[in-house]
Amino acid sequence: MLLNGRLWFTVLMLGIFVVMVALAWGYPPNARFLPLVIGIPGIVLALGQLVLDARGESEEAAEERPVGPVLRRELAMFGSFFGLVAGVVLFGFWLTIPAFVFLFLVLHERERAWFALLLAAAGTAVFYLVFERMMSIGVHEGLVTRAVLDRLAQ
Amino acid sequence: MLETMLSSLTGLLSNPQLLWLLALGTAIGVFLGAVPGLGGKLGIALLIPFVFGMDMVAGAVLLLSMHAVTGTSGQISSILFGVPQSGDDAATVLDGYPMAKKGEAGRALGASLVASGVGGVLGAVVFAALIPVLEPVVLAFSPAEFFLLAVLGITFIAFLSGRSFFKGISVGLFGMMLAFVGMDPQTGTSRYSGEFLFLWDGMSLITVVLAIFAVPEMIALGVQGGSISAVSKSAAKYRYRELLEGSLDIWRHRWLVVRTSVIGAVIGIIPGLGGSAAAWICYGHAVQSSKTPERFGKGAVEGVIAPETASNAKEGGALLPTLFFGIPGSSGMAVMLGAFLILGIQPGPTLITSNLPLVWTLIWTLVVANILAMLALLVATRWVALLTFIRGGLLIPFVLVLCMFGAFLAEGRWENLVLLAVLSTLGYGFLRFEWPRAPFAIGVVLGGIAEQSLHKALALWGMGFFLRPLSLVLIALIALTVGWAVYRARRSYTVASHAA
Repeated sequence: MLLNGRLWFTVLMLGIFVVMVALAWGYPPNARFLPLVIGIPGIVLALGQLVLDARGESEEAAEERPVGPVLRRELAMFGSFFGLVAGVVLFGFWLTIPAFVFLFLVLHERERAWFALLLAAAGTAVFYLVFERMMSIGVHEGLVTRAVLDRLAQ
Repeated sequence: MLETMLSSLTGLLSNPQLLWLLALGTAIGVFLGAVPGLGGKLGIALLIPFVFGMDMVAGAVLLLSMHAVTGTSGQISSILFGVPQSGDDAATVLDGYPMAKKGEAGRALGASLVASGVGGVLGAVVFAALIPVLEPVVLAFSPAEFFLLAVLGITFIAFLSGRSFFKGISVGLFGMMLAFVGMDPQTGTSRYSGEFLFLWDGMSLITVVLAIFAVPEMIALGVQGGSISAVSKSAAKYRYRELLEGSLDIWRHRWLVVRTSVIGAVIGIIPGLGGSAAAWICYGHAVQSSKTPERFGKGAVEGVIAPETASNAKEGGALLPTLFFGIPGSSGMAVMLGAFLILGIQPGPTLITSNLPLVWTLIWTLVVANILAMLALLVATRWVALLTFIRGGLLIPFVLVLCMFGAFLAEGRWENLVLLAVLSTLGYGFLRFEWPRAPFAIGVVLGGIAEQSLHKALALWGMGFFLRPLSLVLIALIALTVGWAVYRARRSYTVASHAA
């Protein structure tokens, strides 16, 4: 039987509750008291929702299954977002922001390159002025960027 | 008393230096509130070097005016883009963002800005009214009452779940489970955080809120295409008339405004409950007291009014224990307390007798700063509301970057960016498969408070804490809330069955 996304998500929630409750068993009595008091009813309720979802699966499946184009757009959006996160973690805010904005606008939104470049530069300049210059808040430099700068400094 | 009250007001308004500092503080507060992850605490920390050596009244006016209005500007991005700036603002997203999607951004902004202003003023009024009876009120609350207040807030989940009862309660419980991440306050055991040091202090609330509310909305906008407002620009309402319409909603729901202001101010007074609790408890109260609770989450203006009123009213309340007992009512007030000491203001009960004019100047500062911020933003936001009609694709990268800044700046840890990515996936699941997100936020905000207070109460009184007089009142309130939720659920089920 092909499970729909709704059902899978409920299974995921149930799994999270089960894992959290299982982990809580290993804690000292005082530390596990509330996680168990909250987690066990969570398992029961998620199971109840699973039954409801399974019963309604036939009707919902009809509207859930033509997911091809939506799923592709979702994957593209998540790919962009995870790329942004990975970029900032590895290369820092100031290298990633212009690259992300430019690539997102060109690849995802099909904007012209000069327009995307203009927006990327303007946006980065505004963020830089506000955070670095006006407020002197040091933002994350990036793990790779830091390592490279350290190597160059030696 | 009346003479001191009026002379403090005229002293504030007739002193150009104080007025300038008040305007400057308000402008800085509005800016800090508009950027996710910044806010009042950082603002006070940044301004402390500038107020060092300043006259105590002038320094206190600058800091307090800045801190008092950070909540006012935070709602703009919450309503327009679904990006909350803090835990309190997440409550505004629930109905503010759907209103923007329906093309009612102007009305939502008008309602929320005036609600913030009125809430701030009423919070100051509550502050002034409570001065004579403050001590017994503050001392009546102990960990036992904190625990029961948190449970009362959690029972509102039943109202916020709507028809998805199982989903709503499950999500609320899941939020509470996430509140347990970190070092157990009792035993020092690391729970659900393994070797990840950044989780030992618990999850960053701003990261969790951005992941569950803001990022999923942007991903959904990217998937569906178009602009945030589903209504065309010509058909949508974003003129000053709509801002006025929103402002008039405050009058239409005036009793809700009064109730949530008082609740917000009282929660602000109670040290340890935290600012986000005020917004969420008042949101729950608005749902609970509405005759048509099914409208909430789909763009009900009361859902915007209640949290914003409470959020600003709590600042007045939080100032009370800070000034008169040296007990900060919130983390922001804890930083403020340090700044007051630097300025030479010695908090304590004697402040009422020794420096009442200063106390009244601070109360008036709260009032004037809130009115100033409200008027300035009412003029400016008409233009900001136009952003909802820009094609989403042009906004998404910038809003996502802003979320990244918010998650990083909250604690200055890059690991929170990874947490943001993981929780955003779950948040998108909630949005995509219609799991209500409001109960999650309530669980996260109140779960930790409930646990810490329960352990303290048990250590102090054992199970006997349930029999304290104020505890009994709160238990009765909890029972009434649950009973009312069950009654309403049964009634709506019966009506639906008859209709079928």
